[in-house]
Amino acid sequence: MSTQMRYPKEVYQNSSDDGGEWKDLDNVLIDDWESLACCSLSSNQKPNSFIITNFKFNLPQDSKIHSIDIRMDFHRDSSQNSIDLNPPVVKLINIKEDFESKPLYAPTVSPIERSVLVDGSNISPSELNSPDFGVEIIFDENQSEFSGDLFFDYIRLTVNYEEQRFVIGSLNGEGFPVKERPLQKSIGETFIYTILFNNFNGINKDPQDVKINVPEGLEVVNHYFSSDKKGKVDVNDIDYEEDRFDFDRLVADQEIIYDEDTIDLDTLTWHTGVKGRGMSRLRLELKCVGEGFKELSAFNKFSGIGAHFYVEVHPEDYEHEPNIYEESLLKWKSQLDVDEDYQTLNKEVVIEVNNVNREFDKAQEKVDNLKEYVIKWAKRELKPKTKFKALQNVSFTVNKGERVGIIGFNGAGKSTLLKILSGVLRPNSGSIHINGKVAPLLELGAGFDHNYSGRENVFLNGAILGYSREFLESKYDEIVEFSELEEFMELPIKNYSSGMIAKLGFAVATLVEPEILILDEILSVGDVRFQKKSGDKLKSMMNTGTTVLLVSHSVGTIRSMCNRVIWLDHGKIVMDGLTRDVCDAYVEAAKKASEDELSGLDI
Amino acid sequence: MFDYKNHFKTFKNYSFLLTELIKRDISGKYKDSTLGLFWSFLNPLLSMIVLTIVFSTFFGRTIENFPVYLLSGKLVFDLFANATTGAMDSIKGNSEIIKKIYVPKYMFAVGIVCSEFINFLISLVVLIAVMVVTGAPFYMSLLYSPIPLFFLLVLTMGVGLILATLTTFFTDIKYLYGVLIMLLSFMTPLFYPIEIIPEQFLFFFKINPLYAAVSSFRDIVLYGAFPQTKFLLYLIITSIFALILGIYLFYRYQDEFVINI
Repeated sequence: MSTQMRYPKEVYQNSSDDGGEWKDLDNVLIDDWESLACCSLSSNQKPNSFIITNFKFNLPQDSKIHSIDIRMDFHRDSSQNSIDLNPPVVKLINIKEDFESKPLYAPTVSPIERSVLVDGSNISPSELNSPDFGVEIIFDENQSEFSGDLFFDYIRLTVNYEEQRFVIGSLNGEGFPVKERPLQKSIGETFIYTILFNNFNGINKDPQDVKINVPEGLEVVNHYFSSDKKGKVDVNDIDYEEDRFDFDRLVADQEIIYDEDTIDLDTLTWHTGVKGRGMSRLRLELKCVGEGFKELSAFNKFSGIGAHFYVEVHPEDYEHEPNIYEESLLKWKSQLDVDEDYQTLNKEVVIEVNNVNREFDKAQEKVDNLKEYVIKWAKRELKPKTKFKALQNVSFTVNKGERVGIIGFNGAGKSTLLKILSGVLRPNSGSIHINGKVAPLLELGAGFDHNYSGRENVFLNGAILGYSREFLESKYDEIVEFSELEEFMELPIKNYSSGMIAKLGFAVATLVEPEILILDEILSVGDVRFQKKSGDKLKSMMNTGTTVLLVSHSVGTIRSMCNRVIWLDHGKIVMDGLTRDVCDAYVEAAKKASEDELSGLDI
Repeated sequence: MFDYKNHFKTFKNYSFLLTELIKRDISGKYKDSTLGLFWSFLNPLLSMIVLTIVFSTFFGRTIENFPVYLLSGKLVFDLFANATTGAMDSIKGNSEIIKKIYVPKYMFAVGIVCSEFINFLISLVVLIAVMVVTGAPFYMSLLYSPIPLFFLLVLTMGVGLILATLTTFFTDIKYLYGVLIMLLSFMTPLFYPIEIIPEQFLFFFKINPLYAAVSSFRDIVLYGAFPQTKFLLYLIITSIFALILGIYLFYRYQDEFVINI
């Protein structure tokens, strides 16, 4: 189930002679407490009806709409002798149809408590996506003998819908053969490869085509379908299941249409037999005729997200990014790249680093007391300090939702960069813009007072992290529960074990769902069980669209956690790109690096 | 020079931190003692008794109500001495936090000054008690007392910020300031009347803003009068100057604290 929520972009009223005229009607488009549309009504006068339109829904064409939730706010003025109105009638309409308003849906839905839930099963996505889709609000006349004002604050529509989902997979769900997991065959050998097409929730009942890419060096000797025995040559030694539908998943009222699979062998387009919810299988008997790495894949223009989802064939030296299908928008990435609306919506930059420089004085020349300073000054020994450049002209941007790993040898400036991003250090020049609440998990329990009880420390530490008293009070029980220290909260923490202190620190540090998470190594604290719990908590924080910046000494951790990597060396960005590319290059470079640079790193 | 709106917002966001810091500073002051906060009363009371026994034989005749004279000066001086010393240590003392998490650094200095001021207000109970016991009159002029106290606070804050900045770069400021505070305590007429100072040295006493603060406070408490304009004016000017200098230095160098502590 997916939802889309929209505020409208346009509003206008149907002027009539005796109707009450709305003033500042555009304020209906804004949801705040201050800007209201207003209509002055005398006794027995009706306000003009008004139409709100241009919601800019982009529901997938084949989605199934469940309901439309219309929320609005209107109220009369607060004087004692005020107007008296029934709640308005709300109509879903198409404003252009036959040049007059045409109801899309049973027109009389009277709001209860200013919210209307409309059953969406009769409405198609294209009707809602249409710019002509609108909502008409028709108020009844003022029944009071007094005149007064009617205010309207905002209107907001939420559509609940289910979108189609297809999964294309391969044998036993293991995915197609890729470089890391190749099928090892010798020339002349034949083998069977199975491709599965699963119409996951069965909303789309149209026949689906799947394009199969068979790379050079492989030949299709034969093919057959699991349900269709035609075209099957030699199957005695192959076991296959008769069922091409997963009957356990069927819903009683789900309509299933059976059809036959066919394949066009010239273009290798598989016309799948499944319609509605269910699965089709294609088995290809392939013969290996050439050496080299072969990546097999199959795709469909609607194909959904899955572990076995490959959209293009890559020869070994193919360099472009795969063209990925954006499930929620029903568009290919190549289409989205030229879609400006999508670009502005989705390229929301949360971290912007411009030409940042940071220098430190060389440590051995540090004069930290007045005596030495005066002596050196008198002897004219105060040389201009030699600077060590920790970061030089570092620039990058991070978009919302990216998980960026930062790697580099010792002394590359990784920690300096994190400190600058978390605000502890300032750059000498350059600028940083951060858009969102940052949770720096650099240090647990910084500022714990050992004479304070666990309870008092929660508040002290929370205050240091910038939370308010009200917020901490509301989250206190959650913190205690997570830290598993219920019995010890009133004891001074000088009596705690170091593991207990770390648990409490972790619980306080992770109590928010931050927009940006800055991590210096994946933290693991406490006993084995708590380590798992804290690891799970971090993962759940990372999986909710949070932007993550992670410094780690372990390339393995970076590979598993990040989708983009920035490689720093001597304060400069060496490489910035996809995890695999950067990590591979980094590991390569590590072979030549000195032992000093590598100590403590896990390549 | 500053983005006022932004600073105000940050201050508001961290106001809870300020109250937590004040709480910590106050409860930490006498943390290992049995009597705890009671020392805030006992400390000035005992030192007053000792000093009265010692010095009232010398100055008892020239100074009317010696205990109140002594206490009113000493409380003011102690507030300044304790708060500036505390502010001086506040950056280094909280280096563990400053090095690891972004916190507006002035919060630590402001926190200690505020907690010392609260401590001072508690000690005022002792002053009132001593005034009652010695039968000193309570004048209407006491209503003016917030004026010099406010500027004393401003002066303290300013000097505190200056010291906090300097001491992060030069550790030995700490020891130097200990000596300076001792000198200041003699340069301020706490337990002797200013009249005993020879004319030619008087100038050095008068440039001490603490003398202005003490004497303004005494005018109100002891003599039932509005503070002498020249003293009050001098206090106001020096305190505002100290605060501006303190804020300037602090902001100018605060980004370098992290690498020096």
